[in-house]
Amino acid sequence: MTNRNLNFKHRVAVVGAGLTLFRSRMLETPQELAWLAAKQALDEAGLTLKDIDCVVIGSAPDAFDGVHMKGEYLAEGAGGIHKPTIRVFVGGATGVFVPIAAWWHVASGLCKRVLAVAEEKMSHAAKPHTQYVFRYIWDPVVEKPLNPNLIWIFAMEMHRYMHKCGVKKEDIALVSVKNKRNACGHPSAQLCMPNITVDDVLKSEVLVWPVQLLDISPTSDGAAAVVLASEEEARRITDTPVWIKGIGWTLDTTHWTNRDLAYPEYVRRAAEMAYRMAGIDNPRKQIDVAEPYDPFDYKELHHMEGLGLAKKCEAPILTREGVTQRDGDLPINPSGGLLGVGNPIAAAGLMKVAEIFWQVRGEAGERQVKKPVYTGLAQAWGDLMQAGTVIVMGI
Amino acid sequence: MRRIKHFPEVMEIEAYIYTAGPVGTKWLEALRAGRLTAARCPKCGRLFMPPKMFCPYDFEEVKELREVEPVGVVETYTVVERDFYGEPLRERKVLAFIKFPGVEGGLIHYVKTDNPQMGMRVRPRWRAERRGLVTDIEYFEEV
Repeated sequence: MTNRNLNFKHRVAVVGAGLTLFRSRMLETPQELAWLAAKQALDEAGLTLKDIDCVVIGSAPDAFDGVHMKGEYLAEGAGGIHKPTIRVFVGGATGVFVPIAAWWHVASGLCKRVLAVAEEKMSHAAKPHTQYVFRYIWDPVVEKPLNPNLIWIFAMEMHRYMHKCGVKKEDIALVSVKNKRNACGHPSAQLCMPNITVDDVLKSEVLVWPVQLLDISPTSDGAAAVVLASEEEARRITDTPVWIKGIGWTLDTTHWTNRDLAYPEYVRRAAEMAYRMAGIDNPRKQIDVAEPYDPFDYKELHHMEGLGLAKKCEAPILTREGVTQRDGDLPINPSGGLLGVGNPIAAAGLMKVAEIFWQVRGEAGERQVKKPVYTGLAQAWGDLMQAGTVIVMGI
Repeated sequence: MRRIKHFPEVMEIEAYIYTAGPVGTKWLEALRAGRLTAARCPKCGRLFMPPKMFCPYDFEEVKELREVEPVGVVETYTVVERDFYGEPLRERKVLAFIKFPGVEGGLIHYVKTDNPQMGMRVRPRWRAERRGLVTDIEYFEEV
């Protein structure tokens, strides 16, 4: 069938999801974390490993878990032995890229039931800090000699966004407060803070100005998994499949100096691709709930604008007006996001996809948003802050 | 002298801290006690190494370890002659893949012998001071 200039054979649905706890230090090995999530997703779909045709694995830098060729290493826990198995990797954007890659396995007609698993165990990269792994993502000639750290660069991006949009730290802190409070409804959450205030965020330790400790997501261990199926199979498996309506991904230049720091073009282009496929021309009206990537509080705002859920510089205003709360007109990160649930890189992105799955099914428990959900969106961002991945799901 | 043409750099972090997982930790505790064990799947009954909290064959949860008779069989072996720099080793090392009857998988370990053979029966030489590491077995030796 031809669908808005994109060609695919089969509609694809999500039929099950699973998540481990997100914690700063888990006893389970990376393979075992992958297995916990995979097993849960299979159980939720009422399937066993025998029912799975193909496996897609997502994990961010090998240097976190400290095992090179992590995809091969994880394959056993992800159920990939003796099956067509692949690992995909686009840094922090990996979590949403995993179901995108799983989608094309099914949409192409190649596989009928696919298990998609994302895992990260950041605690292995222990000393001096997990951030140290990012010392080696820079251009070795012009940037590495300065020993930059990812938070330095985010701090500059955040500052540029604040400057260009006239946003105050108080407005940005509202995102952290919302998400860390939302996380209290999430059974996997690492940073549920029911009583956190803007003042707490503004008084937290300054790491790299303007980034403070409570502006930022934690380092985490964890895994997530979803099961995807073709239309025929999905209808056999469940009465409530959640359809993947649109997918999109793009890459911008690795030179972060050569991009618009106040506006995430990489997200806009990925979103346009997904919206075209999903037949969405007014995302602000047609998306009922969204899980944009929020490793830092300002990134939620940044990404809402890139996704067209707010106009440029409008996201802080919507946030202040309560529009993005769980009972608001456009709930944003009802799961608690990376700021609240935690940030095991690839698993965190897939956690967002699982959240949209449960929101669309009306199975999000105390996290269920007030308005009815027909269509939801999850987005992640990564590599050297240059990759955008977007998925639109709905009934 | 540093040249403009090249940029030497060491790509490392200071330290990794790994965990062995709930079943792997028990397996290491058994090693420290001088016992060799294998994980047992409650569903298919297979014993397997390396031990983990799930059965790689049917995806069931695994909690139990069973003691294994510490006499293995050399499935294959090699003789290491040189180090990473290509220099000859002072003492050649025999490295073998050792299987234990009734167990899926096995262990890679050193075998102290001048005459390695396929199918030779070997047993672990335990260190006197053990710390819960695979190297608590110093090497395997012929039975």
